[in-house]
Amino acid sequence: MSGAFRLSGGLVDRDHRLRFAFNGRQYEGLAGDTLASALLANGVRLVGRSFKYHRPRGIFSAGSEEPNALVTLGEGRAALPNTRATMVELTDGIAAFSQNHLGPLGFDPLAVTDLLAPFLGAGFYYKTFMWPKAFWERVYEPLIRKAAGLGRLPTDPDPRLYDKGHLHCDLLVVGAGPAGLAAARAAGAAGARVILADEGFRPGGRLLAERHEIDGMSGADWAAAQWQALAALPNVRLMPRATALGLYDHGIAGVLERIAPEARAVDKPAEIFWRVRARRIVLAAGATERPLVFPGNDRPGIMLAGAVQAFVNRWAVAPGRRVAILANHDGGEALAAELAGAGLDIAAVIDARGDPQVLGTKGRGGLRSLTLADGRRIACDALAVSGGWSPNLHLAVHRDGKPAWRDDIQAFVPGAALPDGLAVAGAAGGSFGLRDCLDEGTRAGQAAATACGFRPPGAPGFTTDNTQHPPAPFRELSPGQGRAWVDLQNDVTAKDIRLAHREGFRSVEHLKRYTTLGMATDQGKTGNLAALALMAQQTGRGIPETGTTRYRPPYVPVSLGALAGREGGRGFKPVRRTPLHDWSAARGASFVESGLWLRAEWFAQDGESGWRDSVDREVMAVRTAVGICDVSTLGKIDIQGRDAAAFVDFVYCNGFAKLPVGRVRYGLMLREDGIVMDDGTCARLGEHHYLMTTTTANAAPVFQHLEFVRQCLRPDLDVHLVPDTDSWAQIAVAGPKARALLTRLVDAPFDISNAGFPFMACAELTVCGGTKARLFRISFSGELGYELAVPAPFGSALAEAMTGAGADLGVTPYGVEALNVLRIEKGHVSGPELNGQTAPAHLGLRRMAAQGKDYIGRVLAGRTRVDGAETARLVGLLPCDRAQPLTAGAHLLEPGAPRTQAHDLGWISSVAFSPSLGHDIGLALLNDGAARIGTRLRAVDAMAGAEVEVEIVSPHFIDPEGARQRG
Amino acid sequence: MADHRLAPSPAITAAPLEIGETRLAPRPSGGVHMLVLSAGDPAALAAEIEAAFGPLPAIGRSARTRSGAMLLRPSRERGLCIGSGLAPSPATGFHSLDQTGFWAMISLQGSGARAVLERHWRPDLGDVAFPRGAVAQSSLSGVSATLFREAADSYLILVPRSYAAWLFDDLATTLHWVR
Repeated sequence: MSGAFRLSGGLVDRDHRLRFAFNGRQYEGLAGDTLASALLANGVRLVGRSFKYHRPRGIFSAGSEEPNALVTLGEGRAALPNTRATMVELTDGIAAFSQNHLGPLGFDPLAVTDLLAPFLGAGFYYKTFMWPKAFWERVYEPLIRKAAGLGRLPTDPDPRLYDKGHLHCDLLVVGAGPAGLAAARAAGAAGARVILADEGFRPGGRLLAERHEIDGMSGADWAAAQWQALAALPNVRLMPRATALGLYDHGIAGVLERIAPEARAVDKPAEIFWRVRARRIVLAAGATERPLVFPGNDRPGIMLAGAVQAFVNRWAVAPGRRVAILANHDGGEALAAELAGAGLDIAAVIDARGDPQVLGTKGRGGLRSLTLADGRRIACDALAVSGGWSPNLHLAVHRDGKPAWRDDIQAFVPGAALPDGLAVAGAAGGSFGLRDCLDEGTRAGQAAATACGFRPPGAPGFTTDNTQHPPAPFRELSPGQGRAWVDLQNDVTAKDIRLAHREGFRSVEHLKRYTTLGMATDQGKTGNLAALALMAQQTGRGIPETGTTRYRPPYVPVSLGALAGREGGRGFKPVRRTPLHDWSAARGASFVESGLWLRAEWFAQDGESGWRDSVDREVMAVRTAVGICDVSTLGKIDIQGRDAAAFVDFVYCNGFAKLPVGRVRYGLMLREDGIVMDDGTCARLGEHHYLMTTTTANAAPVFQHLEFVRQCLRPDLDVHLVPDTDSWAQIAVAGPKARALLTRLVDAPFDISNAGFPFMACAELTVCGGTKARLFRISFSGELGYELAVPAPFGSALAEAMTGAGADLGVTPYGVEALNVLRIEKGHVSGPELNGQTAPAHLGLRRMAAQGKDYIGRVLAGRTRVDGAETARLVGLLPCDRAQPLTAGAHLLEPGAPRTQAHDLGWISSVAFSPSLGHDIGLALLNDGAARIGTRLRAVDAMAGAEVEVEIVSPHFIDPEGARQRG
Repeated sequence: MADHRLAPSPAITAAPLEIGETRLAPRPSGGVHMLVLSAGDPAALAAEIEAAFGPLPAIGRSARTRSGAMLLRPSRERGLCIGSGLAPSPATGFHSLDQTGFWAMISLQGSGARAVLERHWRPDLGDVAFPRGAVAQSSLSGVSATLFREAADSYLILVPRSYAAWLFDDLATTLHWVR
């Protein structure tokens, strides 16, 4: 029978029994149960402790709005805290644990806070915890932090997988209750692309909880039949277990789909977050019931009337043995008859609109009786409470809409100004009669299909009832006779609201923040209306004038993992590999992340004890023999057109108009404010054909900048840009024996002699017996240097050919660390110097800024002020005691000057150990740098508390005349 | 010693993956040329393209060239010619760039192809917005990509070579997840 409180009937499968555990104790449930229904079936009524006062709490609702029954599902790193037991689809073997208590659920010592209630009203923490001052950080804050919150997060990473996706449709129907099913049928029949999303694992909405007949079938059977018919249509996508969380900019709906238990696997996503772009949306999300406010209204066993109905009708579970009913509308008697018909004992039906009112309740661990104002005591262990229903209008107002108040149903409905393309049908719009819901759904579906260009067929009406029970206006029962809860989850009472009013927090937004009502995980779904009605009574303004707080997505809590999808850990961004990646890895390279790229940092060899051994060796190989380095990651932009020369001349500060075909030039690209944006080389491959290179990091930003120049600043120029970075594998060949190596690779009749191919030449040629290639004679290291490019697929083979052909020359692969040491030795600026604060003058490149032409940055060049760095100049540094290390980032001060910003003269931008010289060297941006050459300063690393005396020198440590690279 | 020829390496070394009736595989490249089309006179451009290759497809569409290659038109100023080699002849309305090494191609075919794509591709994949022969540019998992619907259930994905191995892996994960 799976539970002492199980009734007959219901939509559960008695042939399919499931075992589950709650707080370590084993129970049995049925397929089709939720955790909540299964707990009630087993007589478990105490499921948690309230947030502030640690009062015993039971299951309050049967759905998404649940404020009390928050459990931790699962254990260890897979634990999911704050899970609504009413939304957990029961599966075999699940383990759940109650939250927010010390020791056992039945005896929580922290319930002493309930006795301190008079001191813990709304906003108490604004008036306390102030003395002694030192206690805040050491005592109060840690205590509050421990006491705050409900569930506990696992401290290990979430083991679940998540995914994301995009969907498009003509019509998105939110909610598969009667209105939603009718809308989907109508639009689907017209041939429109329809997505029908429902939060539950079984379609039908309230049809599953209430007893209706539609066209001769039970409501539940009718819903199942609609679902089946929809499933057969190829243009309809059914999404059960999918919650529409919010409506976002551009009308995009966020839908969170939970994977069905039978489809779950540890190596597959548990949830998928969809962004749905729908031409039309029908919001058929139904309504949520509200309770009433009376003293002692929070005991386990006190539930929403609609929930009692759902537990009895859908899950065949009696929430108690003797049920009393309290409602402020006509529906109480009908409910009593329905429950009695199911076998429950009805203790009383109390009309909240009249007298005598409910004065209080008894029963700490669970309801035992309620007391009326005339002294009568009614014994009952369950109380079904109804204060009317509030439409679930959230999605209609997420995009800054304002709800409208309707006196006739005492509820807010979506306002007149709905988001474009969104229509509301059924209870979500304030219609509570079943036939009205069905008709509205059909009409909304037809209208949406028509708007999308389809011709919906006519649909017959439905034969069903249209019963409604409009509630009376809100009133608090027996005010002042005892604590009456308004927000169950955050433990906010009617007294707190009166307090907020007295203390001046009267607007509904202030009320919310001062009392914290509506701020818990349930976002006040059951409590907000009573709260603002109480405030409206205090202020004397009506409910419409008081208004609601702003509705924001998400409609229900959502895992951060679902919003991230796969974009976490290694999957955070794509990984880019160069054409030489596998070849490098095979030769012992370790890789460093450079933006999205993986670049070889060095090639460790056997016997080397650390990276310095490798890097020093690689640097010396380049200085004395020949090294090869993968430089494929640098950006390449193909520039062609009649006005290509003028374009290139416009974007660089130095002259390019007279660059001959077959020559390459170093270029400095400035921002409009005269600061250097990027540097690179630009080769003229033909009269109207240039190839520009950029730094690795700036490939995309420079391309975007060039396109902006092309399209917006100089649309008069006939020029086209094609990003070409990935086309070419490019290898730097540097060192005294570079030419010797290349001679063995280039195909005849190419003349690679110094005369035939001088410094800064470029050419298109073939290598290794016919592979097309491009050769550039440029040097970043200061040695005799070239860069050889072949189409990307041939990169690995070329690297292999180079190491084979150059074995006797001592050819050595080198990585970006050695590349960086070499350029620092040479005194080339790079990323650390091009930091967005430096103009050509600061870098010692003022002569590059051309005089006779217009270019981007010309007007402000030399006039841009970067605070305190106007006179900065690039210099070199040596530690006076050569054995001492330098620290990049250290600041430069005069000897004896105090370590303050006012005395700061500049900072060290790049540092390396120079194997060529045998000690550390550095580059720095130093105020009046040129004049200080030869002097001594202090390099201060304030973070490490270290100081080194340094000598200011020229930034070019190796071959300052440039003879090696020109030879 | 320029006597040992260079052999090309593929952009994707992972093996093709087939689950159910859906297949994800690298497509070897037989040549890809980027065509830069002038925005000037559309009629003149169409005539030049017709003379050089065959009909110029509409934006977002594709067409076969006379030599059997496939000409994709992802945008107003760009064409992608996939297939046989191109003999660039001087023209005023367009110029071509050999980008055979630039583009890696991935083929995704079968009844589950769309289910895989919708986890990554933002634009509409529906039959009206993206019919057979359609071409679009967007991104797959943050990788800029050109998508070509070769047939009802067959898609060709073109991505820059440096991203190809990572993206193939990501799509393979999706194929495992959707089946």
